[in-house]
Amino acid sequence: MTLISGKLMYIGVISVIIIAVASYGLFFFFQRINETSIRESIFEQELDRQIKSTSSISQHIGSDLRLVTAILQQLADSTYLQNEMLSGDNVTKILEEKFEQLNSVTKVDSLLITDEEGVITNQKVSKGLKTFVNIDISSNEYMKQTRESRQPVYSNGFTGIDGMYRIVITYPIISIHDGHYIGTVVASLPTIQFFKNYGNVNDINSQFLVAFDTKGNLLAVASNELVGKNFFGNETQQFINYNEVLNNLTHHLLAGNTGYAMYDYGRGERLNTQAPILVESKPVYFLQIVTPTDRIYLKINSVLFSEGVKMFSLLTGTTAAIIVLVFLLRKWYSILQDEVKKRTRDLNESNYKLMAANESLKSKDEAQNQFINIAAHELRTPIQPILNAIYLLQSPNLSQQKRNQYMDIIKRNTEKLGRLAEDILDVTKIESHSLKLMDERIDLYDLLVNSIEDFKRNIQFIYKDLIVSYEGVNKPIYVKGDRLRLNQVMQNLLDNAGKFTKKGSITVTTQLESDMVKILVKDTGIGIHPEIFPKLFSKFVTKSDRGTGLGLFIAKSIVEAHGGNIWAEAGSHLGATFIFTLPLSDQDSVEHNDRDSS
Amino acid sequence: MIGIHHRNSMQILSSRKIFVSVILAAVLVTWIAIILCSSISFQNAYAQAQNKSSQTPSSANQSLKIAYLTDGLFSDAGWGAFAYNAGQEIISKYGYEVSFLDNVSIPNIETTLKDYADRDYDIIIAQGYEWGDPVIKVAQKYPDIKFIVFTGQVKSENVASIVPRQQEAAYLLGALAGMLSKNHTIGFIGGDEKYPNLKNIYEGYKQGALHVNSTTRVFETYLGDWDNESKGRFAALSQIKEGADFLLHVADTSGQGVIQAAKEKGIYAFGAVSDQNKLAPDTVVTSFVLDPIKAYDSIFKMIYGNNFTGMIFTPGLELTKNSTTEDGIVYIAPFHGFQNKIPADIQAKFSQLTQDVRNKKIIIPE
Repeated sequence: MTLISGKLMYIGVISVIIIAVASYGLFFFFQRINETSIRESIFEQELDRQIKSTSSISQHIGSDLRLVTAILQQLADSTYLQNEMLSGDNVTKILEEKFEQLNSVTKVDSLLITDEEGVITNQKVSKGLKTFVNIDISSNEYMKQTRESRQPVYSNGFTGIDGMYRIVITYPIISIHDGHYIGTVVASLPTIQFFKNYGNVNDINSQFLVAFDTKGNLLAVASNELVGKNFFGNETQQFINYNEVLNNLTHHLLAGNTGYAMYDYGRGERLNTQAPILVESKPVYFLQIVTPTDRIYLKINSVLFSEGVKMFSLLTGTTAAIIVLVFLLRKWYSILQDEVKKRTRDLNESNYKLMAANESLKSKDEAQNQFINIAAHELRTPIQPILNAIYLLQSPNLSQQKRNQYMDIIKRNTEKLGRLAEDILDVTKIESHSLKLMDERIDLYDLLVNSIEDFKRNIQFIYKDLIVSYEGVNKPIYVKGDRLRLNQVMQNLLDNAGKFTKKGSITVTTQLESDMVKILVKDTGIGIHPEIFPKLFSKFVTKSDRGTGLGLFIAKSIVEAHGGNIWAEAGSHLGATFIFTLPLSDQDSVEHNDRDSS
Repeated sequence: MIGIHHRNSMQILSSRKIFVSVILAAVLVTWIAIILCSSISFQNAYAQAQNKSSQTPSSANQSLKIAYLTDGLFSDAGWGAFAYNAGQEIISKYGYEVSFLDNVSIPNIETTLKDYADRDYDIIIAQGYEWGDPVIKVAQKYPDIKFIVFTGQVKSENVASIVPRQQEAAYLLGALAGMLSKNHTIGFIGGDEKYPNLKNIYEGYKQGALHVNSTTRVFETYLGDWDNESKGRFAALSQIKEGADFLLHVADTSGQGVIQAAKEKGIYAFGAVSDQNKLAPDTVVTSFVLDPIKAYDSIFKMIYGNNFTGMIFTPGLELTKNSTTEDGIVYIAPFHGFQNKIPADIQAKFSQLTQDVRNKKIIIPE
């Protein structure tokens, strides 16, 4: 049984482990799939958002450029310029007005008018900058284009006289009367400051903006030293490590396409989304928004980390709960086991008790039956002589002597019946534990002397040759107990001695010991038959024809109920001695000790 | 009894086994969890797309490298603007690469020259009288570099100068002022007295004025500062207070203050070096202008023909801007808004005088 259950247990534990590992494995497998898809979807979201934001930034820039152009158009169409007044106070005033208007849209650091030859006739500049009236700018590509196309031009980047990198937006002044070319208005935008309005152009470690002109010159880029350099030039290419992905992407952009790519030219992976900046549906500049992907991953990881922490807490919480549960179950199991063991033991005990009780009941029952049989027999024995005597008394010719003789027989047997009834009652009381003893302080000496006197009176006519004497301590001996019952013990012992002695002597002595008193009833009778010696104090054991066979049993019960002992010492021809002890009352024992010591 | 005891110990042993197993399982599972978690974090690979393309070769520019240096300011709308425009003309006309530098302080001229000479320029153009001596000094050490000093008075193996005869134009402006002045009082305000060409211009101006009206008073003031508008303005206001109603300035940025004062006081002014009518269309009647398109033609022709000689060119007046038939580089700007305000006879007289100067009928001494 133990072996099989051990094996089962082993298989069970292994199964639990396998199931647990498999469940956790599955859980983490799905968790991982889930995480990967979350990661991808967040990245997709970021990408999508960046594509949209790139597109919206490029639209924003485009619309700002369009707005700048509209203001330039207003200037070109103004009355003074239309009347070929390209300088003077009035023109200066309107120039200032438009300059302010432009700067409310975006950063414009110079607004100028050229004549038809491309010579600056009037200029308004930001504070701290110089004007360049009379400078001939006709050789600039944007001036040529403006003049030739008679359309606004969004120039490529160039370094101004003051060394600042700029783009300009031109608008031709075309006479509305005859359509001849009068000159050009030019707004100049410092590229870094201009593109700064739309994104970070300083910090390469954060999302930043890159802007190109149509030739691929960098108008704004986080590495400011590259501003003004051509993207495909040596310096920039060295900077980006000739990265093919980025080069292809930028080629694609300069061809007017949107797109995105990821690459790493040695400064960490970048996500680049791009869009051309359109004005009137034509690409004029080109925009890239570049994000170091570790920024995105950082964001993703922080989201996933918090999710992971939640999951892990859940998992460890569950595991902890299971462990606690197992602990508790184990504890409950052992408590239950202990309880079962205890109950089983109790059950066994009570079974034994029941068995014992049953046995004792059986023997009691037997004893009872035996007792009843014996009692019935003992009760019947005196009745026969009574009946015989009564029958004889009915004869008419009966002498007085005979009559007295028969009457005596009746009296004796009736008395015996009475004694027997009393003894049986006592035995019943003893066996049903309903024998009640008084608990009083009594003088044993007095009791013994009186008992002996009573006994003497009773036997004076029966055992004329029996001498009964007291030879014990002649002073009060105090014990605790029931006077009547102790007297009964003495009467039974004396009776018993009398029955087996008849001629001779009975001597009662006492011996005081430290805390008890020993009472000896010694006779010179026939002694005790060896056959009955072992069961001397049992019920209905007697060799006497006069006894009930209950006297010694009752005596024993009473002595033991007083905390004493009773036994007999005998030889077959030396008489018998019955001895019993009684504990002295506390006071007495002290007194006695005191006396002894004194 | 022994049996019972044995069974109990077996049970205790079994429950202990279960307990240990569960703990082990929990530890194992947690461990697997940690491993999986960390592997997920680390396994998520960053996509790497990194390939190097071949380097694009930079194209070498075979054209001449020119440095155009001046102590003036490109923003002065006159002298400095002329420098910039001339440089631009060289770029568009010859396709050369030109670097510009303005606002070089006089004490720094020599070091600036050396600095540029060390940077492998083929030609260094220095604009300004002050550049003459330093150029000669530096040019000696750089025989392979050609130096041109505009308004310089110097020459050497590899140094040529161009000194436009601005006094011819100044003569015409003086004459015009003389004819138009109501107070018969006109003024001249110059940047710095120590510039000999300034003195020439003043003399020409004065000569022209006296030629048309010998009673004309001609004031002469030198500011000692080319880049101070308010100095120019105060000098002009002072002359106006004395009755001057026409002012000629040759004072670069300071000259703008002169024009400003004239505008404030409702008198007239002439522009210098560039057409400065745009600075104050109702004030600046006309200007004498140096023609940037032709300024360096003669020297560049020599360089082209590989026959550069150190000489001083003194181109004079041309009748119209960028005249292809004349070798002069100085001309009188259009009257613009004054075209209809100047009496025809005066315009005719002015035109005649221009012809006479151009044809050397009138000689203006240096």
